[in-house]
Amino acid sequence: MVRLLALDPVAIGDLLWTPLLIIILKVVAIFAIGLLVTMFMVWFERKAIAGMQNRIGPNKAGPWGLLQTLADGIKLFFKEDLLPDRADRFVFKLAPYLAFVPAFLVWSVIPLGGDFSDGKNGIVTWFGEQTRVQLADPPVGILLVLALSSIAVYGIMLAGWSSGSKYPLLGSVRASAQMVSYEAALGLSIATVLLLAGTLSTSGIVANQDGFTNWHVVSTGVVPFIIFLLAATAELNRPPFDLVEAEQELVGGFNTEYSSIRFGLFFLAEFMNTVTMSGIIVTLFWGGPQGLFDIPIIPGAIEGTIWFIAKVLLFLYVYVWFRATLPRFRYDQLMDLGWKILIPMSLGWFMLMAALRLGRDQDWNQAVVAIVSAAVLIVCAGLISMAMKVSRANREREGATF
Amino acid sequence: MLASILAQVPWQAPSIDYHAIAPEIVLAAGIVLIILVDLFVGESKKWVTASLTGFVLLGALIPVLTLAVSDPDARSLFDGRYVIDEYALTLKALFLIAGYVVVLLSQNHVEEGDYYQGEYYTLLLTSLTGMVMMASSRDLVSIFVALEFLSIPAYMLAAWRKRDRKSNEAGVKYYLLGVFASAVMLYGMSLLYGVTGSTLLSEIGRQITVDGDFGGVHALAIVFVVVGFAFKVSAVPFHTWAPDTYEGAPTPVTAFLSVASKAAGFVALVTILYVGVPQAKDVWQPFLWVLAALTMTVGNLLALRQSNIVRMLAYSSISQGGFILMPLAVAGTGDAAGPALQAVVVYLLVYAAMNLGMFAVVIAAARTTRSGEISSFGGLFSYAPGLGVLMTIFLASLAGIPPLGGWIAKFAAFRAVLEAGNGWAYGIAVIGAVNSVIAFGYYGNVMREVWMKPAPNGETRAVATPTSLVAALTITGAATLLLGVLPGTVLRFGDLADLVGAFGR
Amino acid sequence: MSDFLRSYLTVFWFGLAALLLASLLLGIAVLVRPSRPNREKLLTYESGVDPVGDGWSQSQIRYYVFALLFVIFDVEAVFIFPWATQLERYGTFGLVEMGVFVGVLLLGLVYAWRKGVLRWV
Repeated sequence: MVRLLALDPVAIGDLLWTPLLIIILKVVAIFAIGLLVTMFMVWFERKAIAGMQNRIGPNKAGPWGLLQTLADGIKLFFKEDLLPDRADRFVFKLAPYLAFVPAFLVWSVIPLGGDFSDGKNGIVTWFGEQTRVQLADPPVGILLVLALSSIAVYGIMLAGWSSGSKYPLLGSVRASAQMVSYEAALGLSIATVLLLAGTLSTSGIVANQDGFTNWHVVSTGVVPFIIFLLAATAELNRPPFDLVEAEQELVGGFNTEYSSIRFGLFFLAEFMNTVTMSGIIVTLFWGGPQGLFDIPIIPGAIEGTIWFIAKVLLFLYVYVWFRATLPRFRYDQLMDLGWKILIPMSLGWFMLMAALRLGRDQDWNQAVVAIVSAAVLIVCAGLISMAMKVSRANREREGATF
Repeated sequence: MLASILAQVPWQAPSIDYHAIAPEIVLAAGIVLIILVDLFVGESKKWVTASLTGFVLLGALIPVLTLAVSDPDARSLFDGRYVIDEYALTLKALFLIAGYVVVLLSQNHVEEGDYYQGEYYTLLLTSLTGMVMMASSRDLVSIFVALEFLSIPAYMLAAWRKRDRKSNEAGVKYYLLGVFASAVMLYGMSLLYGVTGSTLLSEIGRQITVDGDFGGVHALAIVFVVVGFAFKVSAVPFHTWAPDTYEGAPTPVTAFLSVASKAAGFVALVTILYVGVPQAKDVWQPFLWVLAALTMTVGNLLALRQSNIVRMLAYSSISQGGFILMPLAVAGTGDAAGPALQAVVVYLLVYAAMNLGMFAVVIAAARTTRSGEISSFGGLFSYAPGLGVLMTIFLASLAGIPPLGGWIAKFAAFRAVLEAGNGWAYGIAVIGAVNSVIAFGYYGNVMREVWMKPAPNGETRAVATPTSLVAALTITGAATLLLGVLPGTVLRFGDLADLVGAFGR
Repeated sequence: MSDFLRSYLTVFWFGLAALLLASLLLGIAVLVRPSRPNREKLLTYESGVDPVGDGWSQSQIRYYVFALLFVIFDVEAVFIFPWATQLERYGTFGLVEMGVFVGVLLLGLVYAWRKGVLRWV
């Protein structure tokens, strides 16, 4: 155990207690923050939606109903845990872990703060040790995020399958098809960011975004950000892409048969995913903890965290806003959006960005590059619209109604 | 961290001789073109894809010809992993022309049979691309990639008659045994790589020598690779898939599998054995000897019992495969391998012409008779004299009667065997000679039906042969006759005694 | 252990902690919750009526087709990601190669599209 701890990156050589302490501190802090933020996210969502729908929302437990989630959670502990006769017992018990652990793990690679003043590049000094405000910084951080989101698909798929019941099965098949469909677009829009950042590490991606014009949302030209936002929403199974748990048709979706705290884990994972996904959007496109200007009085080491939290809150609000505003997609619309618009668009934009960037690097004539790229894009768009037209004509000939 | 490691390795864009890989580029562009055209033309105009495929194949032939006349003699790409020499070019031309004939055979068959046309030609072209790549591959990895490239479309083509149980059986059998063979071969290849530390065949050839630490692992690796290709060329006892697949697959696809796919298997086998492990010939030659003897004999004996013409041709093609293996089983290495390799190339050329021709006749005749039974060819000469004569020519050539192409092929094979001049060689030569005689039995049987029997059901309407089939028959018939009458052309083509030298040793 | 793997160790510890938390939550629940199962409670939910037939019913083949398509695009991401981070290194040659690769991929997508695979009926 101690030998394994000693292998931790900050403890190369002797087992140093300060770095170990920092790591333990980070783990505990991120744990606490993760759980608290998730708790308040649930409250925030209920309260904000209540506001938008002209209701009051939770207001009994604690001031402004802040402790409502906690009360709900405690209630779940006292509920009977039912395991259907038809269920596959082992997989049924395994699934909540598969959903919960990846949701938590994503926290470890998101840069939560840092000191970006005077070219410090996000490194802060705690107890005399230089460190990043980030649990771990593996060289392929963003791949880790993608991998974890793939594991989450297993959690949902297995939960639905192992229930041995029809609604959950349908919900889980829908969920997996939807998640894998949008994962492709998600990955491709990330690739555009990688073109500019030139690294897969999350801290490297943040470091690349110094100054507003270098924020990837600006420097990749907004389109990848929009694609990522849409794909991430679908990936989270949040409205308007929540066909997975469409209450009107599927009861509760994949977790219909779950009860008690086992259900609570899914619930927690879902909201935690919302928060971490906002964090990833901020990291990839909105400069992470990098600020627009120096906030007076507050020390540089904390400033990054403040910026990060502010940005994440913004996106959390956007998610809630989506939910309150937009009606749910139909399944064929969902698939059409993913496969016929987002994927071709993200691929096209990716190649365009690559050409432009390489052109700048190798001193090609910018105008020529731009014209050629535009021509290629137009031809592609023309081909696609032609394909759409022909297939629509065929559909009509075959007498389909939509 | 990874980026910093990568940054230390200098990287340069490889210099690629685009002229050398022009045939592959034309084929690849053709595949893309045909998919696109197929997607956007109406159902009634799908035949366009067939014509386009033909043009693409002829287009790919142009760079092959320009490469043949241009300096230097041998071009080597990617550090000798992809070599374009006379051997490769001859075989590339063979594959492309065979592919063209198959397209001619397919045109009406596929159009009338209500099959997916665009996909059919796309897959056919893809498979041909794999074969063309195979001819040049001199590396385990590129050989394997080429092999999968040519096999996977073929699995699908075998099952092309979607609603026919036999065709599905054909596809599944071919697929299952094919991937099994691939797995065995890949295991052998990985062992070869393991013991030599290189995938480059010429490097493996340097490393594997009989003296020193040649052990069981080496032998096992070589045997596994040979077994894998034995499946591909349907050598006995790895032939069991062939008759069912040939019978169930659409007839043009059968022609394609029995000629092009088999030739590609032989090409790869020859390349690996003579470039990769020539020093270990004491291991693989006895093995090939047994394979060749079994293949000739079993194929022939089973062919005698067949009543269905396609099954008969399937077994006949198995036994012909034995004749191709025969010289390989006894040849020497280095310069002494020259006649054997020449015999193999000549045999492949001639075999492609006559077997494709035979299938063309079967397809043309079956348009009227709608049957694959040998008895349904009764009286063919009386109502379709042209087809009857052509069928006789092809059958006689397959049987090895002078002065047709098949005779030259057999002659070259036997000459190569006898030049080896040891006991093993005489042994296999005797077995081969006996089998040549047996083969007259079933080829003669079909001839007797064609010439002497009356037409079944008294059906004697004249056979209307579509233009594309006429073209295919002309090409194959002319080739079979010319190769026989003017053996100099093909023997010169196969005059590749310095083949082994050109492999890049 | 190599330097490369070390950076994942923290992630591993964190994952272990998350696993422990989940088990802890479930463990506490076991202590405090009631357990009075009966036949009705253990039935699967089917809108209040007794469940009919097998829970593992067949689902549409289209889900499977989409999963297959996804595999293609996911594998493609494996090739695109490393290239994207090393764009300048591979220069124009790399760009053209990637253009061909992406072009073939898009051709596949157009094919699936045109054949109606992407149409959800």
